Amino acid sequence: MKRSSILDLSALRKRTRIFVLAPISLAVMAGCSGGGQNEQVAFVTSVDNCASSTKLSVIECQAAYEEAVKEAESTAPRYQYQRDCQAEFGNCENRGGFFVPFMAGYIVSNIVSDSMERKHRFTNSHPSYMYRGPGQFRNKIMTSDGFVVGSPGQSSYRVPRDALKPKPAVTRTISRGGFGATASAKSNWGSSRATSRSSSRGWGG
Amino acid sequence: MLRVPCDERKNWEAMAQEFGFKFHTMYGEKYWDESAYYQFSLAQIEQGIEAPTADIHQMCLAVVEQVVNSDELLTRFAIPKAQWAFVRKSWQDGDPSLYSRLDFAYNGEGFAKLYENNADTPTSIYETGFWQWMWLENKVDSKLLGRHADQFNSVQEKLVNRFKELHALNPQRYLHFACSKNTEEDRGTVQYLEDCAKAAGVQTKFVYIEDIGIDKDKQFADLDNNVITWMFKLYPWEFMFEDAYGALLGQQNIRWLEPPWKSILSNKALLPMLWKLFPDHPNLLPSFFEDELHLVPDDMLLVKKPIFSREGANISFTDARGNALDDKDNSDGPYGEEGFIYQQKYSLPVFDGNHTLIGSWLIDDQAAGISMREDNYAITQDMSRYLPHVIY
Repeated sequence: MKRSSILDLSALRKRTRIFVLAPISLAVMAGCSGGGQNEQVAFVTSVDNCASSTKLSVIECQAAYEEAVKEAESTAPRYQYQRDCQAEFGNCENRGGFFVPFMAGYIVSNIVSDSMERKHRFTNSHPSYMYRGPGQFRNKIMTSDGFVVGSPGQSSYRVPRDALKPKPAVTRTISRGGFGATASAKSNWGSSRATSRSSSRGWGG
Repeated sequence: MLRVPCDERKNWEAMAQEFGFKFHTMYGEKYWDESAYYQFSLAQIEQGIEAPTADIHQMCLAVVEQVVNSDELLTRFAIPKAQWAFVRKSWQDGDPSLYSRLDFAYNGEGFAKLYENNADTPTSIYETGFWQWMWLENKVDSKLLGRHADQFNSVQEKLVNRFKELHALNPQRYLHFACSKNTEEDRGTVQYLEDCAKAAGVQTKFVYIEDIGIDKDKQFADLDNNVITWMFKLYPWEFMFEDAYGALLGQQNIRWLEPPWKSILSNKALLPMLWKLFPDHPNLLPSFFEDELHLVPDDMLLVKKPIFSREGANISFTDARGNALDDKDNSDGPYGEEGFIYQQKYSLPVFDGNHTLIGSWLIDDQAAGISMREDNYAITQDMSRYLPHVIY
Protein backbone atom coordinates (compact mmCIF):
# COMPACT_ATOMS: atom_id res chain seq x y z
CA MET A 1 0.00 0.00 0.00
CA LYS A 2 1.37 3.40 -0.99
CA ARG A 3 -0.69 5.42 1.45
CA SER A 4 -0.86 5.98 5.21
CA SER A 5 -2.79 3.04 6.66
CA ILE A 6 -4.65 4.74 9.50
CA LEU A 7 -4.69 8.40 10.44
CA ASP A 8 -5.68 9.64 13.87
CA LEU A 9 -8.48 12.01 12.99
CA SER A 10 -9.35 13.26 16.46
CA ALA A 11 -6.60 15.87 16.55
CA LEU A 12 -7.64 17.15 13.14
CA ARG A 13 -11.26 17.83 14.02
CA LYS A 14 -11.17 21.55 14.69
CA ARG A 15 -14.70 22.22 15.76
CA THR A 16 -14.38 20.48 19.10
CA ARG A 17 -11.00 21.96 20.02
CA ILE A 18 -10.95 23.41 23.51
CA PHE A 19 -8.95 26.52 24.25
CA VAL A 20 -7.90 27.58 27.71
CA LEU A 21 -8.00 31.32 28.24
CA ALA A 22 -4.98 32.63 30.03
CA PRO A 23 -5.14 35.36 32.69
CA ILE A 24 -2.64 38.14 32.05
CA SER A 25 -0.04 37.17 34.58
CA LEU A 26 -0.43 33.44 34.78
CA ALA A 27 -1.99 30.70 32.74
CA VAL A 28 -3.92 28.61 35.25
CA MET A 29 -4.47 25.15 33.84
CA ALA A 30 -6.09 23.41 36.77
CA GLY A 31 -8.12 20.38 35.89
CA CYS A 32 -7.06 20.45 32.26
CA SER A 33 -5.53 17.04 32.14
CA GLY A 34 -6.35 16.63 28.46
CA GLY A 35 -6.88 12.92 28.85
CA GLY A 36 -3.16 12.21 28.51
CA GLN A 37 -1.20 9.82 30.68
CA ASN A 38 -0.79 10.62 34.34
CA GLU A 39 2.32 10.35 36.42
CA GLN A 40 2.78 10.10 40.14
CA VAL A 41 4.86 12.86 41.71
CA ALA A 42 5.80 14.01 45.19
CA PHE A 43 6.02 17.59 46.37
CA VAL A 44 9.06 18.12 48.58
CA THR A 45 10.32 21.24 50.33
CA SER A 46 14.01 20.34 50.68
CA VAL A 47 16.58 17.67 49.86
CA ASP A 48 16.15 16.19 53.34
CA ASN A 49 12.38 16.20 52.99
CA CYS A 50 12.78 14.49 49.62
CA ALA A 51 15.08 11.79 50.97
CA SER A 52 12.86 11.06 53.95
CA SER A 53 9.48 11.15 52.22
CA THR A 54 10.26 9.42 48.92
CA LYS A 55 12.25 6.34 47.98
CA LEU A 56 14.86 8.47 46.21
CA SER A 57 18.38 8.56 47.61
CA VAL A 58 19.96 11.74 49.00
CA ILE A 59 22.12 11.95 45.88
CA GLU A 60 19.07 11.65 43.62
CA CYS A 61 17.21 14.21 45.70
CA GLN A 62 20.14 16.64 45.53
CA ALA A 63 20.35 16.25 41.73
CA ALA A 64 16.61 16.79 41.43
CA TYR A 65 16.84 19.93 43.56
CA GLU A 66 19.63 21.36 41.43
CA GLU A 67 17.69 20.61 38.27
CA ALA A 68 14.64 22.42 39.68
CA VAL A 69 16.66 25.48 40.72
CA LYS A 70 18.26 25.67 37.28
CA GLU A 71 14.91 25.41 35.58
CA ALA A 72 13.44 28.08 37.86
CA GLU A 73 16.08 30.54 36.67
CA SER A 74 14.56 30.57 33.22
CA THR A 75 10.93 29.62 33.77
CA ALA A 76 9.79 31.21 37.07
CA PRO A 77 6.71 33.46 36.71
CA ARG A 78 7.98 37.01 36.20
CA TYR A 79 6.47 40.27 37.30
CA GLN A 80 7.43 43.81 36.57
CA TYR A 81 6.25 45.02 39.99
CA GLN A 82 6.88 43.45 43.36
CA ARG A 83 3.31 44.07 44.50
CA ASP A 84 1.92 42.02 41.60
CA CYS A 85 4.23 39.14 42.41
CA GLN A 86 3.40 39.30 46.11
CA ALA A 87 -0.31 39.42 45.39
CA GLU A 88 -0.06 36.01 43.75
CA PHE A 89 2.86 34.31 45.48
CA GLY A 90 3.58 36.10 48.75
CA ASN A 91 7.36 36.04 49.04
CA CYS A 92 9.17 37.32 45.97
CA GLU A 93 12.69 38.41 45.12
CA ASN A 94 14.17 40.82 42.60
CA ARG A 95 16.07 39.00 39.92
CA GLY A 96 17.64 41.07 37.16
CA GLY A 97 14.91 43.70 37.15
CA PHE A 98 12.03 41.22 37.48
CA PHE A 99 10.25 39.96 40.53
CA VAL A 100 9.92 36.19 40.83
CA PRO A 101 8.43 34.08 43.65
CA PHE A 102 10.65 32.02 45.94
CA MET A 103 10.43 28.32 45.21
CA ALA A 104 8.24 26.64 47.78
CA GLY A 105 9.81 23.32 46.85
CA TYR A 106 9.95 21.03 43.88
CA ILE A 107 8.02 18.15 42.47
CA VAL A 108 9.80 14.91 41.64
CA SER A 109 8.55 12.01 39.60
CA ASN A 110 9.56 8.34 39.60
CA ILE A 111 9.19 8.30 43.32
CA VAL A 112 7.99 4.73 43.43
CA SER A 113 11.09 2.62 43.65
CA ASP A 114 10.82 -0.66 41.86
CA SER A 115 13.61 -3.04 41.02
CA MET A 116 12.24 -3.65 37.53
CA GLU A 117 12.00 0.04 36.75
CA ARG A 118 15.09 1.11 38.53
CA LYS A 119 17.44 0.27 35.70
CA HIS A 120 15.69 2.57 33.27
CA ARG A 121 14.31 5.27 35.44
CA PHE A 122 15.44 8.83 35.53
CA THR A 123 14.20 11.41 37.94
CA ASN A 124 12.24 14.34 36.63
CA SER A 125 11.89 17.45 38.76
CA HIS A 126 10.34 20.89 38.44
CA PRO A 127 10.29 24.01 40.61
CA SER A 128 7.01 24.62 42.43
CA TYR A 129 5.45 27.62 44.11
CA MET A 130 2.70 28.21 46.61
CA TYR A 131 -0.12 30.25 45.13
CA ARG A 132 -1.29 32.95 47.56
CA GLY A 133 -3.67 34.86 45.36
CA PRO A 134 -7.43 34.97 45.85
CA GLY A 135 -9.79 32.36 44.47
CA GLN A 136 -9.99 28.60 44.33
CA PHE A 137 -6.24 28.07 43.85
CA ARG A 138 -5.23 29.87 47.04
CA ASN A 139 -2.62 27.87 49.02
CA LYS A 140 -2.24 25.31 46.30
CA ILE A 141 1.04 24.05 44.83
CA MET A 142 1.63 25.41 41.33
CA THR A 143 4.33 24.92 38.68
CA SER A 144 6.00 27.70 36.64
CA ASP A 145 3.41 27.72 33.91
CA GLY A 146 0.44 27.79 36.26
CA PHE A 147 -0.33 24.10 36.47
CA VAL A 148 -2.03 23.38 39.80
CA VAL A 149 -0.58 20.28 41.45
CA GLY A 150 -2.86 20.26 44.50
CA SER A 151 -2.99 21.16 48.20
CA PRO A 152 0.14 20.53 50.24
CA GLY A 153 0.24 17.58 52.63
CA GLN A 154 -0.41 14.63 50.34
CA SER A 155 2.24 11.95 50.04
CA SER A 156 1.86 11.94 46.26
CA TYR A 157 -0.07 13.62 43.43
CA ARG A 158 -1.20 12.39 40.06
CA VAL A 159 -0.39 14.89 37.32
CA PRO A 160 -0.59 14.64 33.52
CA ARG A 161 2.73 13.82 31.97
CA ASP A 162 2.62 17.02 29.92
CA ALA A 163 2.81 19.09 33.09
CA LEU A 164 6.19 17.54 33.82
CA LYS A 165 7.76 18.40 30.50
CA PRO A 166 10.31 21.22 30.27
CA LYS A 167 8.92 24.74 29.95
CA PRO A 168 10.20 27.38 27.53
CA ALA A 169 12.33 30.11 29.06
CA VAL A 170 10.79 33.54 29.66
CA THR A 171 12.54 36.75 28.71
CA ARG A 172 11.88 40.48 28.48
CA THR A 173 11.18 41.54 24.91
CA ILE A 174 12.57 44.95 23.96
CA SER A 175 11.20 45.22 20.42
CA ARG A 176 8.84 43.42 18.05
CA GLY A 177 8.00 43.44 14.38
CA GLY A 178 11.43 42.89 12.85
CA PHE A 179 10.17 40.08 10.64
CA GLY A 180 7.44 40.29 8.02
CA ALA A 181 8.12 43.59 6.23
CA THR A 182 9.49 41.99 3.07
CA ALA A 183 6.31 39.98 2.64
CA SER A 184 4.05 42.99 3.05
CA ALA A 185 6.11 44.94 0.49
CA LYS A 186 5.63 42.12 -2.01
CA SER A 187 1.95 41.77 -1.23
CA ASN A 188 1.16 45.04 -3.01
CA TRP A 189 1.25 42.91 -6.12
CA GLY A 190 -1.68 40.83 -7.11
CA SER A 191 -1.11 37.66 -9.03
CA SER A 192 -2.04 38.09 -12.66
CA ARG A 193 -5.46 36.52 -12.27
CA ALA A 194 -6.54 37.15 -8.72
CA THR A 195 -7.43 40.80 -8.26
CA SER A 196 -5.66 41.14 -4.94
CA ARG A 197 -3.33 39.02 -2.90
CA SER A 198 -4.96 39.15 0.45
CA SER A 199 -7.07 37.19 2.89
CA SER A 200 -6.20 33.65 1.96
CA ARG A 201 -3.12 33.22 -0.18
CA GLY A 202 0.18 32.96 1.58
CA TRP A 203 3.93 32.89 1.05
CA GLY A 204 4.32 29.22 0.55
CA GLY A 205 4.74 27.87 -2.95
CA MET B 1 -2.46 8.34 -16.37
CA LEU B 2 -6.07 9.40 -16.82
CA ARG B 3 -8.35 12.18 -15.73
CA VAL B 4 -11.62 10.62 -14.55
CA PRO B 5 -14.70 12.79 -13.93
CA CYS B 6 -16.68 11.76 -10.85
CA ASP B 7 -19.42 12.95 -8.51
CA GLU B 8 -18.52 15.08 -5.53
CA ARG B 9 -19.22 13.67 -2.08
CA LYS B 10 -22.51 15.19 -0.99
CA ASN B 11 -21.32 16.17 2.47
CA TRP B 12 -17.79 17.28 1.68
CA GLU B 13 -18.27 20.95 2.53
CA ALA B 14 -19.69 20.06 5.94
CA MET B 15 -16.72 17.76 6.50
CA ALA B 16 -14.34 20.54 5.47
CA GLN B 17 -15.91 22.73 8.11
CA GLU B 18 -15.62 20.02 10.73
CA PHE B 19 -11.94 19.55 10.01
CA GLY B 20 -11.14 23.23 9.71
CA PHE B 21 -10.29 23.13 5.99
CA LYS B 22 -11.19 26.75 5.34
CA PHE B 23 -9.47 27.56 2.08
CA HIS B 24 -11.19 25.05 -0.23
CA THR B 25 -12.77 27.96 -2.12
CA MET B 26 -10.94 31.22 -2.77
CA TYR B 27 -12.10 34.41 -4.47
CA GLY B 28 -15.31 32.58 -5.23
CA GLU B 29 -13.42 29.94 -7.21
CA LYS B 30 -12.86 26.31 -6.46
CA TYR B 31 -9.47 25.41 -5.05
CA TRP B 32 -10.31 21.90 -3.86
CA ASP B 33 -11.94 20.22 -6.86
CA GLU B 34 -13.28 16.67 -6.55
CA SER B 35 -15.35 16.73 -9.72
CA ALA B 36 -12.58 14.57 -11.21
CA TYR B 37 -9.52 12.62 -10.09
CA TYR B 38 -6.29 11.50 -11.70
CA GLN B 39 -5.61 7.81 -12.05
CA PHE B 40 -2.12 6.29 -12.21
CA SER B 41 -0.73 2.81 -12.60
CA LEU B 42 1.62 1.61 -9.89
CA ALA B 43 4.51 1.60 -12.37
CA GLN B 44 3.82 5.23 -13.30
CA ILE B 45 4.01 6.16 -9.63
CA GLU B 46 7.00 4.05 -8.64
CA GLN B 47 9.17 4.41 -11.74
CA GLY B 48 7.81 7.63 -13.16
CA ILE B 49 7.70 9.73 -9.99
CA GLU B 50 8.83 8.08 -6.76
CA ALA B 51 12.29 6.94 -7.89
CA PRO B 52 13.21 10.20 -9.71
CA THR B 53 12.01 12.21 -6.70
CA ALA B 54 14.42 10.47 -4.35
CA ASP B 55 17.24 10.71 -6.95
CA ILE B 56 16.74 14.38 -7.65
CA HIS B 57 16.70 15.16 -3.96
CA GLN B 58 20.16 13.59 -3.65
CA MET B 59 21.33 15.56 -6.69
CA CYS B 60 20.03 18.73 -5.04
CA LEU B 61 22.02 17.99 -1.89
CA ALA B 62 25.12 17.67 -4.09
CA VAL B 63 24.40 21.17 -5.40
CA VAL B 64 24.17 22.55 -1.86
CA GLU B 65 27.55 21.01 -1.07
CA GLN B 66 29.08 22.86 -4.03
CA VAL B 67 27.35 26.17 -3.40
CA VAL B 68 28.12 26.54 0.31
CA ASN B 69 31.80 26.06 -0.48
CA SER B 70 31.95 28.75 -3.15
CA ASP B 71 31.68 32.51 -2.68
CA GLU B 72 31.06 32.86 -6.40
CA LEU B 73 28.11 30.47 -6.33
CA LEU B 74 26.59 31.99 -3.21
CA THR B 75 26.70 35.30 -5.09
CA ARG B 76 25.02 33.74 -8.12
CA PHE B 77 22.32 32.39 -5.84
CA ALA B 78 21.72 35.96 -4.58
CA ILE B 79 22.29 34.93 -0.96
CA PRO B 80 23.26 38.16 0.88
CA LYS B 81 26.92 38.10 1.90
CA ALA B 82 25.95 38.88 5.50
CA GLN B 83 24.12 35.51 5.63
CA TRP B 84 26.82 33.29 4.15
CA ALA B 85 28.24 32.20 7.50
CA PHE B 86 24.71 31.45 8.79
CA VAL B 87 23.83 29.33 5.75
CA ARG B 88 27.20 27.57 5.67
CA LYS B 89 27.10 26.71 9.35
CA SER B 90 23.66 25.12 9.06
CA TRP B 91 24.92 22.88 6.25
CA GLN B 92 28.20 22.01 7.97
CA ASP B 93 26.35 21.22 11.21
CA GLY B 94 24.03 18.90 9.30
CA ASP B 95 20.88 20.70 10.43
CA PRO B 96 17.99 18.32 9.68
CA SER B 97 15.15 19.18 7.32
CA LEU B 98 11.46 18.33 7.49
CA TYR B 99 10.01 18.38 4.00
CA SER B 100 10.02 19.69 0.44
CA ARG B 101 8.08 19.40 -2.81
CA LEU B 102 9.44 18.86 -6.32
CA ASP B 103 7.21 20.03 -9.16
CA PHE B 104 7.12 17.87 -12.28
CA ALA B 105 5.62 17.92 -15.75
CA TYR B 106 4.60 14.31 -16.45
CA ASN B 107 1.89 12.74 -18.57
CA GLY B 108 2.38 9.10 -17.54
CA GLU B 109 4.84 8.27 -20.31
CA GLY B 110 8.56 8.91 -20.65
CA PHE B 111 10.40 10.95 -18.08
CA ALA B 112 8.92 13.35 -15.55
CA LYS B 113 10.67 16.72 -16.02
CA LEU B 114 11.60 18.80 -12.99
CA TYR B 115 10.16 22.33 -13.03
CA GLU B 116 11.45 23.45 -9.66
CA ASN B 117 12.06 22.55 -6.02
CA ASN B 118 9.88 24.09 -3.31
CA ALA B 119 12.29 23.21 -0.55
CA ASP B 120 11.77 26.02 1.94
CA THR B 121 8.06 26.86 2.28
CA PRO B 122 6.01 24.29 0.38
CA THR B 123 2.24 24.46 0.86
CA SER B 124 -0.73 22.21 0.03
CA ILE B 125 0.57 19.55 2.41
CA TYR B 126 -2.70 19.43 4.39
CA GLU B 127 -4.67 18.83 1.21
CA THR B 128 -2.16 16.15 0.27
CA GLY B 129 -1.40 14.32 3.51
CA PHE B 130 -4.88 14.45 4.97
CA TRP B 131 -7.69 15.80 2.83
CA GLN B 132 -7.18 13.73 -0.34
CA TRP B 133 -6.55 10.68 1.88
CA MET B 134 -9.98 11.25 3.47
CA TRP B 135 -11.51 11.62 0.03
CA LEU B 136 -10.23 8.16 -0.98
CA GLU B 137 -11.35 6.59 2.33
CA ASN B 138 -14.86 7.98 1.80
CA LYS B 139 -14.95 6.87 -1.84
CA VAL B 140 -13.90 3.33 -0.93
CA ASP B 141 -16.25 3.18 2.07
CA SER B 142 -19.19 4.18 -0.11
CA LYS B 143 -18.09 1.57 -2.71
CA LEU B 144 -17.65 4.20 -5.43
CA LEU B 145 -14.06 3.02 -5.75
CA GLY B 146 -12.88 -0.57 -5.28
CA ARG B 147 -11.04 -1.81 -2.21
CA HIS B 148 -7.83 -2.07 -4.24
CA ALA B 149 -7.83 1.66 -5.00
CA ASP B 150 -4.66 3.13 -3.52
CA GLN B 151 -2.96 6.50 -3.38
CA PHE B 152 0.68 7.59 -3.38
CA ASN B 153 0.39 9.29 -0.04
CA SER B 154 2.15 8.31 3.15
CA VAL B 155 2.77 11.99 3.83
CA GLN B 156 1.08 12.25 7.22
CA GLU B 157 2.50 9.00 8.56
CA LYS B 158 6.00 10.02 7.48
CA LEU B 159 5.56 13.53 8.86
CA VAL B 160 4.67 12.22 12.30
CA ASN B 161 7.59 9.79 12.20
CA ARG B 162 9.92 12.58 11.10
CA PHE B 163 8.75 14.76 13.97
CA LYS B 164 9.49 11.89 16.34
CA GLU B 165 13.08 11.80 15.06
CA LEU B 166 13.39 15.56 15.35
CA HIS B 167 11.90 15.43 18.85
CA ALA B 168 14.59 12.95 19.86
CA LEU B 169 17.22 15.47 18.69
CA ASN B 170 15.52 18.30 20.62
CA PRO B 171 13.88 16.62 23.62
CA GLN B 172 13.93 19.74 25.81
CA ARG B 173 12.79 22.34 23.28
CA TYR B 174 9.41 23.76 22.42
CA LEU B 175 8.78 23.94 18.71
CA HIS B 176 7.33 27.30 17.68
CA PHE B 177 5.28 27.33 14.48
CA ALA B 178 5.12 30.61 12.57
CA CYS B 179 3.58 32.14 9.46
CA SER B 180 2.50 35.57 8.20
CA LYS B 181 -0.73 37.18 9.36
CA ASN B 182 -3.79 37.41 7.12
CA THR B 183 -3.12 34.26 5.13
CA GLU B 184 -5.72 31.63 5.86
CA GLU B 185 -3.95 29.08 3.71
CA ASP B 186 -0.60 29.45 5.46
CA ARG B 187 -2.27 29.41 8.86
CA GLY B 188 -4.04 26.18 7.95
CA THR B 189 -0.84 24.61 6.67
CA VAL B 190 1.06 25.50 9.82
CA GLN B 191 -1.79 24.25 12.04
CA TYR B 192 -1.65 20.91 10.26
CA LEU B 193 2.09 20.57 10.74
CA GLU B 194 1.68 21.57 14.38
CA ASP B 195 -0.95 18.83 14.80
CA CYS B 196 1.49 16.31 13.31
CA ALA B 197 4.27 17.49 15.64
CA LYS B 198 1.97 17.16 18.65
CA ALA B 199 1.02 13.66 17.56
CA ALA B 200 4.75 12.88 17.67
CA GLY B 201 4.98 14.13 21.27
CA VAL B 202 6.60 17.49 20.49
CA GLN B 203 5.59 20.44 22.69
CA THR B 204 4.47 23.26 20.43
CA LYS B 205 3.50 26.93 20.38
CA PHE B 206 2.37 29.27 17.62
CA VAL B 207 3.49 32.83 16.85
CA TYR B 208 2.88 35.06 13.85
CA ILE B 209 6.09 36.09 12.07
CA GLU B 210 5.18 39.77 12.56
CA ASP B 211 4.77 39.28 16.34
CA ILE B 212 8.25 37.90 16.96
CA GLY B 213 10.29 40.11 19.29
CA ILE B 214 13.85 40.26 20.58
CA ASP B 215 15.31 40.64 24.05
CA LYS B 216 18.51 42.45 24.99
CA ASP B 217 20.58 39.36 24.16
CA LYS B 218 19.09 39.25 20.64
CA GLN B 219 17.11 36.13 21.43
CA PHE B 220 13.81 35.84 19.60
CA ALA B 221 10.64 35.64 21.70
CA ASP B 222 6.92 35.01 21.15
CA LEU B 223 4.00 37.12 22.46
CA ASP B 224 4.21 35.39 25.87
CA ASN B 225 7.89 36.41 26.05
CA ASN B 226 8.89 32.78 25.76
CA VAL B 227 12.32 32.42 24.20
CA ILE B 228 12.23 30.69 20.81
CA THR B 229 14.73 27.85 20.58
CA TRP B 230 13.26 25.73 17.80
CA MET B 231 11.13 27.15 15.02
CA PHE B 232 9.21 26.05 11.97
CA LYS B 233 8.58 29.09 9.76
CA LEU B 234 6.37 29.09 6.71
CA TYR B 235 8.07 32.27 5.59
CA PRO B 236 10.84 32.32 2.98
CA TRP B 237 14.47 32.59 4.04
CA GLU B 238 15.10 35.24 1.40
CA PHE B 239 12.46 37.43 3.10
CA MET B 240 13.93 36.80 6.55
CA PHE B 241 17.36 37.80 5.23
CA GLU B 242 15.93 41.14 4.05
CA ASP B 243 13.83 41.87 7.15
CA ALA B 244 15.11 44.11 9.97
CA TYR B 245 15.87 41.16 12.27
CA GLY B 246 17.68 39.40 9.42
CA ALA B 247 20.91 41.06 10.51
CA LEU B 248 20.61 39.24 13.86
CA LEU B 249 20.25 35.74 12.40
CA GLY B 250 22.87 33.30 13.59
CA GLN B 251 23.30 34.94 17.00
CA GLN B 252 20.66 32.74 18.67
CA ASN B 253 20.68 29.13 19.74
CA ILE B 254 17.77 28.20 17.46
CA ARG B 255 17.12 25.05 15.44
CA TRP B 256 15.30 26.05 12.27
CA LEU B 257 12.79 24.20 10.11
CA GLU B 258 13.46 24.42 7.32
CA PRO B 259 17.17 24.90 8.04
CA PRO B 260 18.97 27.92 6.48
CA TRP B 261 20.73 25.76 3.87
CA LYS B 262 17.31 25.25 2.25
CA SER B 263 17.66 28.82 0.93
CA ILE B 264 19.94 27.29 -1.70
CA LEU B 265 17.38 24.68 -2.82
CA SER B 266 14.27 26.86 -2.93
CA ASN B 267 16.22 29.12 -5.27
CA LYS B 268 15.77 28.94 -9.04
CA ALA B 269 19.55 29.16 -9.49
CA LEU B 270 19.39 25.52 -8.42
CA LEU B 271 18.12 24.61 -11.91
CA PRO B 272 21.17 25.70 -13.99
CA MET B 273 23.42 24.25 -11.28
CA LEU B 274 21.69 20.86 -11.51
CA TRP B 275 22.10 20.96 -15.29
CA LYS B 276 25.83 21.73 -14.91
CA LEU B 277 26.44 18.91 -12.42
CA PHE B 278 24.13 16.35 -14.04
CA PRO B 279 24.00 17.31 -17.75
CA ASP B 280 21.48 15.41 -19.86
CA HIS B 281 19.87 13.75 -16.85
CA PRO B 282 16.53 12.51 -18.22
CA ASN B 283 14.47 14.18 -15.47
CA LEU B 284 16.10 17.59 -15.90
CA LEU B 285 15.39 20.34 -18.40
CA PRO B 286 18.37 22.28 -19.85
CA SER B 287 18.76 25.41 -17.71
CA PHE B 288 21.05 28.43 -17.89
CA PHE B 289 22.20 31.49 -15.99
CA GLU B 290 21.74 34.85 -17.73
CA ASP B 291 25.38 34.96 -18.87
CA GLU B 292 25.18 31.49 -20.41
CA LEU B 293 22.56 32.15 -23.10
CA HIS B 294 25.22 31.76 -25.81
CA LEU B 295 25.19 28.04 -24.93
CA VAL B 296 21.51 27.68 -25.85
CA PRO B 297 20.76 26.01 -29.23
CA ASP B 298 19.18 28.53 -31.62
CA ASP B 299 15.84 26.79 -31.90
CA MET B 300 15.27 26.23 -28.17
CA LEU B 301 12.47 28.20 -26.56
CA LEU B 302 13.01 29.22 -22.97
CA VAL B 303 11.11 30.10 -19.82
CA LYS B 304 12.54 33.01 -17.87
CA LYS B 305 12.14 32.65 -14.08
CA PRO B 306 13.19 35.04 -11.30
CA ILE B 307 15.66 33.52 -8.84
CA PHE B 308 13.22 34.01 -5.93
CA SER B 309 9.82 33.60 -7.61
CA ARG B 310 6.93 31.94 -5.75
CA GLU B 311 3.57 30.64 -6.95
CA GLY B 312 4.47 31.05 -10.61
CA ALA B 313 4.91 34.84 -10.49
CA ASN B 314 6.98 36.89 -12.98
CA ILE B 315 7.43 34.04 -15.45
CA SER B 316 7.74 34.74 -19.19
CA PHE B 317 8.64 32.93 -22.40
CA THR B 318 11.67 33.92 -24.50
CA ASP B 319 13.62 32.81 -27.55
CA ALA B 320 17.06 31.21 -27.29
CA ARG B 321 18.75 34.59 -26.78
CA GLY B 322 16.41 35.65 -23.99
CA ASN B 323 14.24 38.00 -26.07
CA ALA B 324 10.72 38.13 -24.72
CA LEU B 325 8.01 36.44 -26.75
CA ASP B 326 4.61 38.02 -26.61
CA ASP B 327 2.56 35.36 -24.90
CA LYS B 328 -0.81 35.51 -23.21
CA ASP B 329 0.49 33.12 -20.57
CA ASN B 330 3.26 35.40 -19.28
CA SER B 331 2.68 36.19 -15.61
CA ASP B 332 3.54 39.31 -13.65
CA GLY B 333 4.39 39.77 -10.00
CA PRO B 334 6.76 41.35 -7.49
CA TYR B 335 9.94 39.36 -8.18
CA GLY B 336 12.99 39.67 -10.39
CA GLU B 337 15.25 42.34 -8.83
CA GLU B 338 17.64 39.58 -7.83
CA GLY B 339 18.09 38.28 -11.41
CA PHE B 340 16.69 35.49 -13.57
CA ILE B 341 17.49 32.02 -14.85
CA TYR B 342 16.33 30.36 -18.09
CA GLN B 343 14.91 26.88 -18.47
CA GLN B 344 13.94 25.06 -21.64
CA LYS B 345 10.25 25.56 -22.37
CA TYR B 346 8.49 22.28 -21.73
CA SER B 347 4.72 22.39 -21.67
CA LEU B 348 2.56 20.78 -19.04
CA PRO B 349 0.40 17.94 -20.29
CA VAL B 350 -3.22 18.89 -21.00
CA PHE B 351 -6.12 16.73 -19.76
CA ASP B 352 -9.62 17.78 -20.82
CA GLY B 353 -8.32 21.29 -21.42
CA ASN B 354 -6.54 21.53 -18.07
CA HIS B 355 -2.80 22.06 -17.65
CA THR B 356 -1.67 19.57 -15.01
CA LEU B 357 1.28 19.84 -12.65
CA ILE B 358 2.44 17.10 -10.27
CA GLY B 359 3.92 18.04 -6.90
CA SER B 360 6.01 15.25 -5.45
CA TRP B 361 6.58 15.41 -1.71
CA LEU B 362 9.64 14.45 0.26
CA ILE B 363 9.63 14.00 4.01
CA ASP B 364 13.29 14.50 4.80
CA ASP B 365 14.86 12.44 1.99
CA GLN B 366 12.01 9.98 1.36
CA ALA B 367 9.52 10.34 -1.48
CA ALA B 368 6.17 10.35 0.31
CA GLY B 369 3.30 11.23 -2.02
CA ILE B 370 1.95 13.52 -4.71
CA SER B 371 -0.42 16.42 -5.18
CA MET B 372 -2.20 17.24 -8.45
CA ARG B 373 -2.74 20.84 -9.53
CA GLU B 374 -4.74 22.01 -12.56
CA ASP B 375 -4.88 25.36 -14.24
CA ASN B 376 -6.56 26.90 -17.29
CA TYR B 377 -3.20 28.47 -18.16
CA ALA B 378 0.17 26.97 -19.06
CA ILE B 379 1.82 28.46 -15.95
CA THR B 380 0.19 27.10 -12.83
CA GLN B 381 -0.22 29.78 -10.20
CA ASP B 382 -1.56 30.19 -6.74
CA MET B 383 -5.16 29.80 -7.93
CA SER B 384 -4.56 26.41 -9.54
CA ARG B 385 -7.13 23.83 -8.49
CA TYR B 386 -6.20 20.86 -6.33
CA LEU B 387 -7.51 17.45 -7.43
CA PRO B 388 -7.19 14.06 -5.72
CA HIS B 389 -5.57 11.02 -7.34
CA VAL B 390 -5.69 7.23 -7.13
CA ILE B 391 -3.47 4.32 -8.04
CA TYR B 392 -5.73 1.78 -9.70
